[in-house]
Amino acid sequence: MDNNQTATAGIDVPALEREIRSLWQQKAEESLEQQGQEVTRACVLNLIAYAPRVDASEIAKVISAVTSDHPSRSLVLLSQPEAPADSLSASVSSLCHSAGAGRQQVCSEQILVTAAGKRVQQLPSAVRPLLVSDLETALWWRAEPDFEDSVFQELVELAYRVILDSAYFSDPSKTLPKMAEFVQGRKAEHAFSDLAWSRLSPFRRQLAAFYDVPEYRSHLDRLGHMEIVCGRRREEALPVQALLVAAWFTARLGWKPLGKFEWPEARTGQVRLDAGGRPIQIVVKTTAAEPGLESVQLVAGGDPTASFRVSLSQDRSHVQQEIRLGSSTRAGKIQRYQKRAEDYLLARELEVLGHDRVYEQSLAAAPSLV
Amino acid sequence: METAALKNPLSEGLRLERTPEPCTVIIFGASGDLTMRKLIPALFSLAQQNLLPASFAVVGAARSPFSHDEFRDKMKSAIEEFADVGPQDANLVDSFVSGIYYNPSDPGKPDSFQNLDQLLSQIDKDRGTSGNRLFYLSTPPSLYAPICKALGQVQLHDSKGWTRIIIEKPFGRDLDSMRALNKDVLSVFEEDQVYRIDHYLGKETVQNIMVLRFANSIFEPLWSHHYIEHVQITAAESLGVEKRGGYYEQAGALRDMIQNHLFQVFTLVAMEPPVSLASNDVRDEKTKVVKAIRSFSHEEVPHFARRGQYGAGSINGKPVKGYREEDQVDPQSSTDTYAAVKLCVDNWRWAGTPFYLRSAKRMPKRISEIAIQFKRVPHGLFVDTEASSPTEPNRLIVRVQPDEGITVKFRAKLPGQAINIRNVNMDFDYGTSFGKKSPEAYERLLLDAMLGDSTLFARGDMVEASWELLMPVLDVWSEAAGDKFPNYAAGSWGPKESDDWLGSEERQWRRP
Repeated sequence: MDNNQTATAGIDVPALEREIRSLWQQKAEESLEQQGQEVTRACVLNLIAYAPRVDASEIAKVISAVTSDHPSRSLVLLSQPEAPADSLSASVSSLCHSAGAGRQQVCSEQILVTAAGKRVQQLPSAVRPLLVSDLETALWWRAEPDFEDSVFQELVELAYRVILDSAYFSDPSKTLPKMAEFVQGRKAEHAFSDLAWSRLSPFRRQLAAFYDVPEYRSHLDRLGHMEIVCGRRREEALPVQALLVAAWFTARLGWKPLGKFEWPEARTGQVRLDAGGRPIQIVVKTTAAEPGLESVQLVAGGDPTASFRVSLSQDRSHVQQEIRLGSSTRAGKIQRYQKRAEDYLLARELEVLGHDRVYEQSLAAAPSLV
Repeated sequence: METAALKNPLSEGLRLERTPEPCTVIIFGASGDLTMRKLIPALFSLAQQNLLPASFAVVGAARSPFSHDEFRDKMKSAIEEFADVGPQDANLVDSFVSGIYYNPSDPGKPDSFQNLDQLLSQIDKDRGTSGNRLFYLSTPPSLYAPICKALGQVQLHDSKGWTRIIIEKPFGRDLDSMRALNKDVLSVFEEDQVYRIDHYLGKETVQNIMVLRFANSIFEPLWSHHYIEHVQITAAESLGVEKRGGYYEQAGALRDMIQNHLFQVFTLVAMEPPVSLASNDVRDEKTKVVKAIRSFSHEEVPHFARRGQYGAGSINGKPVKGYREEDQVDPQSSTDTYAAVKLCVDNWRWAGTPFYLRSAKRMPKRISEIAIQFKRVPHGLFVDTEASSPTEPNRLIVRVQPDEGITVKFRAKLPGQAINIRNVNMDFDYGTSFGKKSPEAYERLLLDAMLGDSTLFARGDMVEASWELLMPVLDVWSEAAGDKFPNYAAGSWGPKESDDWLGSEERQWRRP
């Protein structure tokens, strides 16, 4: 990737557009001169990235990686609401990637908008004229949102897809219910994603895969106990990923919570649910390991009892299944596991074109558990 | 909520695109090249993408006497050598390979198929594959019928789950052999169990033809004889016959490419909109358009087809030998390495708009494309000036390989005071717009077969109709010695006779 950048003071949209045109001309000339090839300008969506209090280079790195999969006009909004002086400025740059050996360079453009103090409130009006018309717009909000905040609300209005990351929530037990309420009210117009939910995918796939086998599927109706082991951040009691897994099962299997999560021990929480007369207990054990799921075990009654466990391997390179039917143990599917960086997760979310109904259902079930 | 009788409630919403039910894939011809180079690597790639079912196994079947472990070692080497999946994960390779089995199988020895039946039952018990079976015939065509018969004798065509069979091309080498084979296969399996594979249909751009036509409103109004002058479908290869001289001598370009791959592509371009994407709705439309192609008599063949054979020449600056000098090729061979046919579709949409299908070896470059050439403007309002490029008709080019994408060619005014006009291209390139690698054709087709989606597989009636149409060409070409062969040099765009033929129709072959 390479990056050409020019800056203009304030937000002068015609000047920015001129800068963009001039950047393209410059890139085309350079490429023809140096490589004898034309530059391809590609743009399949508008991507707005909002990040308060971060370094521009940190967010630009993520966006650059995402645009190699999703060439876009990216608008990176950096805000410093607490800054004493008010300011608003913008700069443009091009992000170029080679489309393969001997092939043309593919470039897309990034507009960096920096706002401080009261001018943070003007970000939505600065963004609106900079969006490329007729392309869909996605918003990535890389922070804990204030759902009442007008900047958040106005930027959401611009987007067909809103991508949040509940890993940034300081107390998911409090913020997730607010988010569920917000999503419920807006989901007719916008699709919502949560990168914390995306991080669950390897576990969700392996857990679901047990019951693709018809012979095991009937055990879903006999599940009585679920144990989730999860690393947690210091400030959170109930890790968000554990809560989302519990909410997923609750929503998909129609379980009814009989109370909220309780913490009889500092690191062990539990909640009781009802599945049409059958009692269910979900236990969450938190560890000092890095945040994220360690294992999920489901135990079904009957004769023989059955246990289905998905866990991270010791070296954290795989997610593996284990099935116990009475006294016999069967190895299940093994799947490679990689801790995914934000750019990867974001790129995958941008591939989703519609609503993630299962996520929305699970999010809606979460408040009843906490 | 009782879930036992329902489908898995947890699998909904997973971003796995599509995951099949538990099953076993049984590959006949398991010691062959296709298994090693394509099938096992494609299955492993699906495993790596987590697209295989939770319970899954592969059984290799061939005459060679391998043990399970010997065969596993062989397949592990195949994965290491041929799977294009980025860095390989040793644990995943081991896990995948542990689900591979081998059964020595010879249709002449019924016991070996009894053993296969027992092995499959044991795998169902051990791995939970639920009795679902996908047979893959990757053997010489002469074994298709005996294998089907042997499977039928031990009732393996009808297990407790679903049973499907994939048959590799060629599906017959002429109309009679196709009908005979079809009869043998259908005496054991039902038509909806039979998946005649054409790997061309697994290519992303080929699948995109339907999307281009039926998901956009701007093309369909133009998609008829009213606006399209003619269509050229080209599959050119720069390679010669390599080590396949023996096979190619029996096949030739018409059988090897046109009767199957290019006909399939043609149907997607020419068919009417299907009522739904259900496989038989799509295949009904494809068959209908093949049946609408004007048939021609033996005497008319010179008006509808041209053939050629390459002689020595050079490609990419390197001298290459002629076809008759290739290994396992008769020095007097009259096999066509170049074939072109003209299809006239006698229906409301296409009357008067011919489709030219062309395939050849040893062309200047490897390219497959569909070129839709639109009619010229009815009146030349802009008189060409010296600064204008020659007037060319508008074209829509769908590139199938390499560099999959779509190009629209149109004319635009050069900036300046005068009206000078240039031809310009507007390009859509899959690689640059989506930044995502297209799946390999075999991955897509194997997955479709496991899912029971036969849309991208050829149905018997369409295969029969295409053989029926081409039989006069095959008859005439087989009777006439290729005494004018070779008639094009390797590295050229084909025989002059073919250029003249199109020239006589006031058209010319594209030089893609």
